[in-house]
Amino acid sequence: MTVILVSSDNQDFKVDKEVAERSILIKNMLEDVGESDSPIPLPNVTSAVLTKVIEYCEHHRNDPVQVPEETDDPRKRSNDIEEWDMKFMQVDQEMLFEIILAANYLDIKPLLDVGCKTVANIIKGKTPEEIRKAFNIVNDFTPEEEAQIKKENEWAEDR
Amino acid sequence: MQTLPPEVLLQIGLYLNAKTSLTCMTVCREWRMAFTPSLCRVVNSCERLWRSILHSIPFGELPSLFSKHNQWIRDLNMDDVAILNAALKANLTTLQSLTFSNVDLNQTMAVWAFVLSDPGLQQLAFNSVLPVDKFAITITTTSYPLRLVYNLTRASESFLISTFSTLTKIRHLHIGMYADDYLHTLSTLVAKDLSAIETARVRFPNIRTVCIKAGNVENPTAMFQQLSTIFPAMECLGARRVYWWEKKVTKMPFLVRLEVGLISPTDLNAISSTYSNALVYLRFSLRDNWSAEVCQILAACARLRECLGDGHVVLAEDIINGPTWTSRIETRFTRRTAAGKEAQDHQKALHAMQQQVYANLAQLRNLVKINFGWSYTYDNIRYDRNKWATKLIDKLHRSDIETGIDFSQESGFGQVVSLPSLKKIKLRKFCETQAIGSSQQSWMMEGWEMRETWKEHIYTLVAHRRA
Repeated sequence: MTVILVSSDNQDFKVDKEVAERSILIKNMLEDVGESDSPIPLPNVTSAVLTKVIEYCEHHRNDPVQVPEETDDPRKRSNDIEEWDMKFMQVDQEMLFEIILAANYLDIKPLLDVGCKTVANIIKGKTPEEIRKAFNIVNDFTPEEEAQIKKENEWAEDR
Repeated sequence: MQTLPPEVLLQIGLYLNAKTSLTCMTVCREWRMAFTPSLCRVVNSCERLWRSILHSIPFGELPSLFSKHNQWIRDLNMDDVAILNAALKANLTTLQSLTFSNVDLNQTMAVWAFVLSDPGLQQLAFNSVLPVDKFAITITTTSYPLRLVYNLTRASESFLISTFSTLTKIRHLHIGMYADDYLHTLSTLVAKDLSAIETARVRFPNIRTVCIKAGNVENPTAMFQQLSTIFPAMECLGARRVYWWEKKVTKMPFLVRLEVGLISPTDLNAISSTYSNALVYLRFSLRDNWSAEVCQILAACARLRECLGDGHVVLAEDIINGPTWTSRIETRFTRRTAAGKEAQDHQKALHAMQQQVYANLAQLRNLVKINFGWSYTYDNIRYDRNKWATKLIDKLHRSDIETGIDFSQESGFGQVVSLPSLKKIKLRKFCETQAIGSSQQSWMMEGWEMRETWKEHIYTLVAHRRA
């Protein structure tokens, strides 16, 4: 059985139900609607991003469904990304963010996790200025706040 | 360009350590908010960063610091009584794990008040805690260096037992090596005399990890039975100094991780037939060499991911959600030079043994890596694997011992090499010349990238399957 997903730029994507249901959002939608061939609009996802997301879901169609862990581990590891996922995530930063946002919106937990791990690995070892540059973030602290933070963080410097 | 919303930043923070979280907090206002939780999830005063944070703040401000971030703190590791007390004054409603490191519990009754209030802790750990003399625990010091022995009065025993049985959410009880404190006594009680707990009719329905330190258990069967009654939900049992003598193994319905001491293959078989569907981790020591029987037994444990045995090591780490195994097989083939027919017989026996081992290895269809490491005993002296080379050269006549791993096609190793997912083979052996090996391995050269080194009598071969 297939379903039709419609991207924000009005492109139709025909995918197996099983693949589409990797997205908890879509799964719940299908359950609510019941048997229906009407296309599912995804106004927050462009066709470029949806193509990637479907590629991921196709590859992971047979993965067991993740059971939410009873206790959340205080510190998780970001260096255990599968090889295929790692290659899949080798995209430009704009696309990486779009995939993460889409995974967040579509509720595809494993994809969101892989995306977050990838971003965490980019952040590691960078200075605040390097992070701002990498992620195009504007430093919006006032000079006073900045001085205060600097003072607070002095003890965190390697001594 | 898109920015990531706070809930995604919060997720990213889970993968960062304290230092990186702190760096992220200085990027911009939004990030400062978003990464505060990930900084505060684990407050560890033994860690350098937290040590400097906690010690740079005026003492009077500590309680307010903890109160400000109390909802984010999941894991608290404290080695300073004053800071610990300050932390406990904040309402740590979401704390899951509490660890004491070198804390003198005499000075911090607040801790016991906190623990006894049952805040929902799932893990309680004591690392090298100094002795406690409150609660009428009489301490008799028979000391030998680094280790103290304490005796408990009956009253303090029952206090202890009832204390820990009231904590409904504790899942893991970790008792440090020299933690001669309440908890240590609990483990001693468990090992020596479970009757105190049995008589008190106390059950620990939620404890999942139990470690037993004491040895010389006279009746292991009875002990395991008692353990299964007292800790009905036990998932991990560490009993490395307990030797299995009985054929019957008590079924513990939730047990998935098990460590035992020196056992026989028969015992191993009893364990595997009782737990074969459940065991994920197994550690044991065997009197004998690696044998085909052992390999079969282990192959029958369908969920086994990691297994350590003295004399040989099978170590498999399951990659999350994948059927791939990464395994390390270490096996010892020791041969002493002997004269005439005896030597021939020995050689034959050795070959037969190797063939059987290879045949059994070939059953492990998901094997990714094999490491034929090296360890053995000589005249009942066990050599530390890290120091073995020097010691060996010093103490042994090299001609006496030769590791006889046969790597030829005839030995049956071909079956192992043709395992579909095998990617890497590593071999280390002690030998006089580098000449050993290359001729035997020539048949393998085609599909494999080989790298050989020979240094200080240690020959190392690493083979990667060509893509």
